[in-house]
Amino acid sequence: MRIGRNAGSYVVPLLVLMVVAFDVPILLMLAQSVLSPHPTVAHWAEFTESPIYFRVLGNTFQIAVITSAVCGLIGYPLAYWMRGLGGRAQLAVVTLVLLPFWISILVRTYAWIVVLGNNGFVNRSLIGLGITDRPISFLYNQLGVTIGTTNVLLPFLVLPLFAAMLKIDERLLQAAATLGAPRRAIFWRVFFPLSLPAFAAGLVLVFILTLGFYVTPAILGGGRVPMISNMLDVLINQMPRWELAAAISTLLLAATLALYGVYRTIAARSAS
Amino acid sequence: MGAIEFDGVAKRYGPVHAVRDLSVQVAEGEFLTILGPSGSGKTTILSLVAGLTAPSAGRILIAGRDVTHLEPQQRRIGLVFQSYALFPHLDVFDNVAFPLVVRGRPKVEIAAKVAAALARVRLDGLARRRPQQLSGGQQQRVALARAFVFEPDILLLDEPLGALDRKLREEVQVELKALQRDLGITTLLVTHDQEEALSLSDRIIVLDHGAMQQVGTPDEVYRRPANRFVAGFLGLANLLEGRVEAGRGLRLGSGELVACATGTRPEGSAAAAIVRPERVRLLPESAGEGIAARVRQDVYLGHLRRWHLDADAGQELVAAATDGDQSAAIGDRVRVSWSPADVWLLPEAGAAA
Repeated sequence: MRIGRNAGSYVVPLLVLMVVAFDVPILLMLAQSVLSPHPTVAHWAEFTESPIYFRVLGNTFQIAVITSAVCGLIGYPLAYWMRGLGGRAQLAVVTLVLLPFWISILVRTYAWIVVLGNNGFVNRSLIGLGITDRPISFLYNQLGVTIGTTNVLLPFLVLPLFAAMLKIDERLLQAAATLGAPRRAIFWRVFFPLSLPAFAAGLVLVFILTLGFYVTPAILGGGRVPMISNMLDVLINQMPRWELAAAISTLLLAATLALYGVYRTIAARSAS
Repeated sequence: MGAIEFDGVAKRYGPVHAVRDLSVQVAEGEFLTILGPSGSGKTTILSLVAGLTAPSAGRILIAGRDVTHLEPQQRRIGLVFQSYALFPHLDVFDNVAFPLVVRGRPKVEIAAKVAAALARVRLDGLARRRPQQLSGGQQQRVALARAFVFEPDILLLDEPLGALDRKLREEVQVELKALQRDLGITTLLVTHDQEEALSLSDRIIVLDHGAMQQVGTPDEVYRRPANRFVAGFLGLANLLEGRVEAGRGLRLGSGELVACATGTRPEGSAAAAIVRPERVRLLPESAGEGIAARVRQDVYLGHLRRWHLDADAGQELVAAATDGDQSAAIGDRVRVSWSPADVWLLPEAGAAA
């Protein structure tokens, strides 16, 4: 590239801006957990001593696991089905999967309240069909939060997985067929192992994104399903306990980085 | 092991005829090559035999069994793809074991057969490598081992040497031929490389625009081509056009008479004949016989030397000889001659275009 030699002079100002405006404040923020008001481990001690924080952490991880699992169970068959579609139908379905990306998370999340509320479409249908005689509570519990996060995060799993499936060489499947493999064996012995790295990477991505999710759990959980982000909100805006929030954020960042490392390792393996 | 029979096989893609009315029998244990330029339909024929494509008409029989409507899984064929199509997530051993594993063979048998197949293609020490860690030639041999390890009825090879460099290709040709003879397996090879076809095959089918132009031994299709296409596709040929003089030969447009056997051709009918460059002799200008010509180009090919000549009558001619056997420099005037036995009158109808 012609700009290659001078690229540094273009990039450096942006880099400085990133460091000064973004990285330094974050580090200062995180440092509060051990430096405020003077060097101390008191905030970390408080964090480790009260079970409530661990319960929220555990709850968050639990929802992340469930969300990843549900996204995987829905997303894999969906991506596989999309791969087999013809040109025009495939484009239509990809658009449908992408569509939610163009609508605000806030709007989508409130839409779930309309759909899942006691007077919502789902409950009225269930009652109308005689399946249940009183409304099922979908909202303001773990079920509601999981439905919401799954809805928002599903495309993050489906789209990369679909792209990876498209890259699987059709001739490998044909080769398997000529070598005598029944359809089931072609899928389990050839197709699935080849799609597995992208699938695993997608699951880890959904897991990471769920860990830090704020809006959807806040609305669909109605404050009764505390996740890490909601707890941080309470600690900062209501307590206010910035030092403790900083300690928890440090922990969240570390966990996310570790998982991101796993994600990159898997993604790199799937690319090779 | 088994013979293959094509019975009026055709394949159309909309208005395009990929394969037209193919009827030919491949004998048990025979090595048959389908030779043609790209787009001639040769790979389609292979897909039809493999069951990856369904024919529009006709029947295909393998070992006497009508397989026209069978799935690829039920056809008992070993197919080597041009790209090899090795499973990247499996090592060499598991790749070769695949056809045995999906047939549910016992582990002991699988281990023994895979080891034998790998030894046969000289890959003994590489069983635990991944395909990506192998050279092109090694990958090709893994693909081959995977295709014959389960003792299929027939072996199908789709341009198996296409991805190899020239030196390696010649080595593998020799190996492939030896392997095929050892296994005694009926083999169908698809290629656009005439040298490969000539050196490997018992018989060759020459294909153009989906239609079989000729089927015969390498010697037949090279020395006695059925038409201009076959003559031109299998190496260089001097094309001579004129009118038949019964019992004497072919009278060229320029007035010269080329002596050759005319068979039952009627007197005065338009015809074309070919002479292969290596059958052409260059004589000094003073020689009393032959066609007068001037050397336009002198091409050195290592094992061969080739001369492009302009005949005085305007015809372009090509001569070739083992380097050292003959000599002529650019601009030299020579006379060009050949033995009447080396002239082949093309049997095609309406030869004069």
